[in-house]
Amino acid sequence: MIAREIRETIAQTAFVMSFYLFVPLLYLMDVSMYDTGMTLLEYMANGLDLMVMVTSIYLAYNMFRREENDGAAEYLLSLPVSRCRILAVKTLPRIVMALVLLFAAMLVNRMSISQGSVLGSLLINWRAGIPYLALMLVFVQLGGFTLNLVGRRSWSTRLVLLLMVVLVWQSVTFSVAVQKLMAKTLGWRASLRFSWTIGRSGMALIDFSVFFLLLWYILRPLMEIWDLKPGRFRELWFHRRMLLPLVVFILLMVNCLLSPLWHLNLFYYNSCMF
Amino acid sequence: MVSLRGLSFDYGSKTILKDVSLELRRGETLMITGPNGAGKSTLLRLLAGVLLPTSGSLEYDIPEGTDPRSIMAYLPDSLSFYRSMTPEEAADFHSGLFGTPPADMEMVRKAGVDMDMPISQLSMGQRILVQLSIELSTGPDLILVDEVLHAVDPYLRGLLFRELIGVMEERDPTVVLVNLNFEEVANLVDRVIFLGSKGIVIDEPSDELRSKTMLVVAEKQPEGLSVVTGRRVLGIQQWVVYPLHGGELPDNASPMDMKGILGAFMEAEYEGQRTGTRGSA
Repeated sequence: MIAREIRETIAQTAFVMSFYLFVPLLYLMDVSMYDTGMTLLEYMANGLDLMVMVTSIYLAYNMFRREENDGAAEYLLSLPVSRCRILAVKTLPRIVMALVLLFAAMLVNRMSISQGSVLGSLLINWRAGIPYLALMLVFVQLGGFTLNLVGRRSWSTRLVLLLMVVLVWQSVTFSVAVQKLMAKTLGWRASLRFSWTIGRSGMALIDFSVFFLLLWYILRPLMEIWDLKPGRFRELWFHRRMLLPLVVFILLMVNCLLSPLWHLNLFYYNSCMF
Repeated sequence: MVSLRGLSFDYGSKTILKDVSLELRRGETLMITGPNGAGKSTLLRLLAGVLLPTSGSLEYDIPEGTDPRSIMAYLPDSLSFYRSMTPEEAADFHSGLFGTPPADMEMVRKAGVDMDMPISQLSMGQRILVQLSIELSTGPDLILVDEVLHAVDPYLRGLLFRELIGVMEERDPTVVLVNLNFEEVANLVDRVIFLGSKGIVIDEPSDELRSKTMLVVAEKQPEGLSVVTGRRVLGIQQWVVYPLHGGELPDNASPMDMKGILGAFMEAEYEGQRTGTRGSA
């Protein structure tokens, strides 16, 4: 089962990455019209950064495409395979593939003359580090699995999950709330010391422990009720279930936007990146 | 083998099955029949675990911790399968998940199926044969077959039944067939379940059902007998009676074949739906 998913993942990745072949062409068009001051390698590096995200979302969205095209959903559900195993078999090859692409993007960035950063290209929020980006790719795949279980043609599910991904990508952090809480209870000095001690990787882990928990809050019971009923039944269920995580995400976002700490860090990050 | 207790299933406000209780015994072959929309395929899907009941329970007589789906072979009417695979790839994939040797596909080859062709490009009959061969290769204790056999030509149907009977002789599994054509499976079936719009109408061993149901010719409805349906055929008034208890059978009461019996129940069911009452059984 896993071998089949690996083949499927490679085929889907090859399809999306074939568009990467157009990047040199775009580069030639670009330099003929504007003085970008970029070398081809820099251009390729930026393109690859973008492809990491595009491919990851494409893989997540098309996780059950084979079952849909073949009409194999009922067969899959009749097999003696637990829902958790299906989750693992579907997401693991895609997560690995996304991480391989991320690693390749990092390498190409290092090779390029300006030694840019995949994080900068993707305009990741200030908290980002490579662990943050890697965890975000895992989040995208779990979000894709959730979408496919509800029914990938469900517009409302697509919108909500996309919003969650965009928020995680750009603006939402939980560690800011932790920092603020520590500052209030233990003082700013302790809060800053905590941040320096755990570093970006530690903060990414704190952030994603909350993000994954919120997604798992939807996904776990969804796996239990997943059967052959038409998607609209799971869609209605999803509408009820998503409310809490969505409210938490929005509260986190408001908390970040209102936090001077977040703006301070954002300024610091941007000044370092660009 | 399987106990269904108070099983109900609905799609939102639409109830498909309500409070169905049933015992499937090891080694017996059941035919589930009934009018369209009675929930036959839904019942099979609940047994196969691809639909989850709204309420009630299904208990399988298997060792604790065993996935019930690992003892099943399920052939749905949708013929759901990985159709982009060739028969051999599908056999390898299926056996890999069950931990059994791949299907030998002898019958499939006999039917002239191109083994290098994706399943999607095979004819309907060949597809059914491929899928059934693969499903039966895992040595199932419970075989669930939806109404797909009628879509197959007589030669392929013969091969399908040989495949099925082979497994039945070898393992004595419980077989559940959803079927509208009793004659097709008459020699295999031990028990008949007629599912009406309001639940199970008949649940009888097929021999008993045959011996209990009679056709009575009389102008007036026979007294003291349960009448399934009454009809006028070529100017003659007939009554189908079941079950035979109390009342005295008239001399002209005659036994019916299974096709006639099930046809009468079907008629009663549709009549009941039309008039808003349940069939007289």
